[in-house]
Amino acid sequence: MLNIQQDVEQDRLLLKLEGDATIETASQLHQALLEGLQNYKDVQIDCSAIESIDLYALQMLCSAHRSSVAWEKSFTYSGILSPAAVSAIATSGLKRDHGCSLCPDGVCCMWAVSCTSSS
Amino acid sequence: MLDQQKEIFREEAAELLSDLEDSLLELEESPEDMDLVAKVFRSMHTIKGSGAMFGFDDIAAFTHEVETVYDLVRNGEVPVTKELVSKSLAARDHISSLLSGEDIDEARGEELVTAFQQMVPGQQPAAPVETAPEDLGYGLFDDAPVEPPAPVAEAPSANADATYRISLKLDRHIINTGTRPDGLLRELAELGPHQMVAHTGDIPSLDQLAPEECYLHWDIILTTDQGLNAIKDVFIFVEDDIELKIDVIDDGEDPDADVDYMRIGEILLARGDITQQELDEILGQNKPIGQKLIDSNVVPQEKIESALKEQEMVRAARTQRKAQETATSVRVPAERLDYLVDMVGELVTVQARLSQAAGMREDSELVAIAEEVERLTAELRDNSLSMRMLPIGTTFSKFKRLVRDLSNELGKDIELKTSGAETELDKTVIEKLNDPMVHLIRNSLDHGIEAPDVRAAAGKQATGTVLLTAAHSGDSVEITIQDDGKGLDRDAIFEKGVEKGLISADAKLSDTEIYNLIFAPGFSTAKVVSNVSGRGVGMDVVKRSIDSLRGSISIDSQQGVGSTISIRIPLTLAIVESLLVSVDNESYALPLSIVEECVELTRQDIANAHGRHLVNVRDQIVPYIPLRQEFEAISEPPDVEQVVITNLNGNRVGFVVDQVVGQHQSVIKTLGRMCKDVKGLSGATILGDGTVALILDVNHLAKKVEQEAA
Repeated sequence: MLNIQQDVEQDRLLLKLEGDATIETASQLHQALLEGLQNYKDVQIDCSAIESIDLYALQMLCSAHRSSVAWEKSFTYSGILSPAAVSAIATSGLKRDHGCSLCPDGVCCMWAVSCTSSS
Repeated sequence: MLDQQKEIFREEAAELLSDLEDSLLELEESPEDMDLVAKVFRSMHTIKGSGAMFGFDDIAAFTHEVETVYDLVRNGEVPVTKELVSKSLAARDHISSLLSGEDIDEARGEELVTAFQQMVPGQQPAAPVETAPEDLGYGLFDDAPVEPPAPVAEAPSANADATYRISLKLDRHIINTGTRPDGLLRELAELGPHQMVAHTGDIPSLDQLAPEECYLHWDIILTTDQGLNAIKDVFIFVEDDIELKIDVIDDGEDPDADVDYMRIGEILLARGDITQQELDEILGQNKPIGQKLIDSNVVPQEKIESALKEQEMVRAARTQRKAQETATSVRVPAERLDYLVDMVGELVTVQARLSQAAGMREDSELVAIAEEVERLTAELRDNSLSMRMLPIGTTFSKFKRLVRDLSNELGKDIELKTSGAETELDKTVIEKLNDPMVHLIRNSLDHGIEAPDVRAAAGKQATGTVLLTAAHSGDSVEITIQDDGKGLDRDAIFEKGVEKGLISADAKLSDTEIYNLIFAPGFSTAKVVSNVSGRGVGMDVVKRSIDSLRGSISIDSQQGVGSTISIRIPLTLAIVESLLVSVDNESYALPLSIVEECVELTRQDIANAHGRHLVNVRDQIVPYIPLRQEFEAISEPPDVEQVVITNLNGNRVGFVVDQVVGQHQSVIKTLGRMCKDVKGLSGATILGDGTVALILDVNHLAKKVEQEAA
């Protein structure tokens, strides 16, 4: 079960994910992310209440981030990551010391240690 | 070379089998313990893998059957039952005989194979494979007999920590097969320490992305001792839906492998992420290679990160191995150690001579050197003796099996508890202790512990307990075997003693004296001779074996409550602390551990005793043995003689000598073939001046005098 709570403040959309972001709820998350990035300049995602997250959801966050750069928008974390999310990023091999080459300079990669831990 | 490897395999397999036995016995007690199941599986798996590698195909094929069942047990498909454990123990014994090549019971082997095959759910045992002669010559159209599945030797060997580079790409629609990629990664991660880098390059933008497709692919560096097949097994159900490439980048077996491993450029080249030409061009620039590569856009950042992780993993594995290589043990044949201890013994003797010679010369420089040599020799002696020390637990674990099998045979419920298994004792002592201990435990099981119904009637717990303990006590080790059985029957022993003519019917004996009768040759009170014990040939042999180890044995018992047998054994048979005495200008040594005190014996004392060999020590009468008389001395005794009072199995006995010389480190030499039957002497030692001192067998001397008096 995934609950996506949406909070809008001017141009900024905050998506708060609660519960299980897995293959079963992948379409729901995809739709929310896509609509969010199409309609708002700044989308923030709160993963502090995630109980489980699989690599289908993680690759979707990666795609959202990459799209935001291409569409000249912003996609960042809000708040801390839940322990389940931190663990899933590490066990799926996404955790990076540095960002990926598709992240332009100055943009914080979703998986770089400096970005996941400081936000 | 192969023979040498086979020998190593034999040694290692023997250790594994010993561990296996322990695990199985533990498993019987806690069948729910999945860690134990895994341990049994691993042992079987290693024996199978290395067996096949070193050409022990019979062992590999046999173990394969057992391993198959434990694989199912591991997965919860087959339960752990008493029967499974019994069969597994039998299988362990069969492997052991295949290993030694002795007492191979082929029929039993086949029986076990069938039994294990039957344990696999839904599988009928394969029709017994006719062991056809090799020249059978199958016709072209004949079906060849079905070969039992030949175990595949894994490369590298399954028990070495090898490091693999795994490149994994899943079919985008893998979820349609019902497989969750996260599960695969988790399973792989469980095999050992790893570094995983997911490549995100194929992930499309959000509007192009299909949420149920997998766009990631991975580079995984994994260090594991489970072998290549274990890695392949993770992907066994998705073989057709993945691209998998596994390279061994460190086989874990080369202790000399360079800890530095490859450089980043070389790793990328080896992975095919970069060409030699590209690498050469970039190397020409004056920047760190990682930066050059990124700047040049030849290789994406992730690939460099992945290569860095590979470098890190292999370096870590190799560094750890180097550390292990230096820290772990070296196998040395026992004879070499024995030889070393012998040589150190010689050195101790020579050192004593040197000290003595230096002391007589008043040369301070020589004395200083002699003292230095003395210090070094003492260290060397302690060190080399400690090399032969083994924890007594190695024998304790053998007894667990003995108790299990015997209690089944006797229809009794008996539990063996041990404590002090870590107590160390000289290897040769442990070896010689095995048989007497087996006998004592058998006795406890057979005669001591009652049948469950008898125990219940006596208000005891149905399960009997045998407690085996070992503890250091000075320069000896005290081992006790305690049972909560019916105890020794004092009256029955007394009667039997009278019947055998060992004592007179009106003898007044203490409990200890009566219990000690069971050590007399041919003594047994068991009405029926069982094949476990009761032939009466045991306890005197036990006593003799303990005596030969210069140890002592005593019994304590309470009827209806249980018995305790205590054995005291010197730590080593090679060197002992002794008290040097002289009798008739000859030197003798007594083990210092039994000496309690030395008192003077004047002519007046002798006269006061009216011809009896008794001395009054602080109002306590102590019997003594005049050694002059024993050794038929002809010279005149000194006016004041010395009595060395010893404690023999709880009794104080004195030995009268001319003079007490002092403490001495005695390197024990056997007396040689010609003198081996001389009673009253247990060996000899060489003194600093090169003369020989005989070591007294005080137990024997005391007994001899006792018998003569009787």
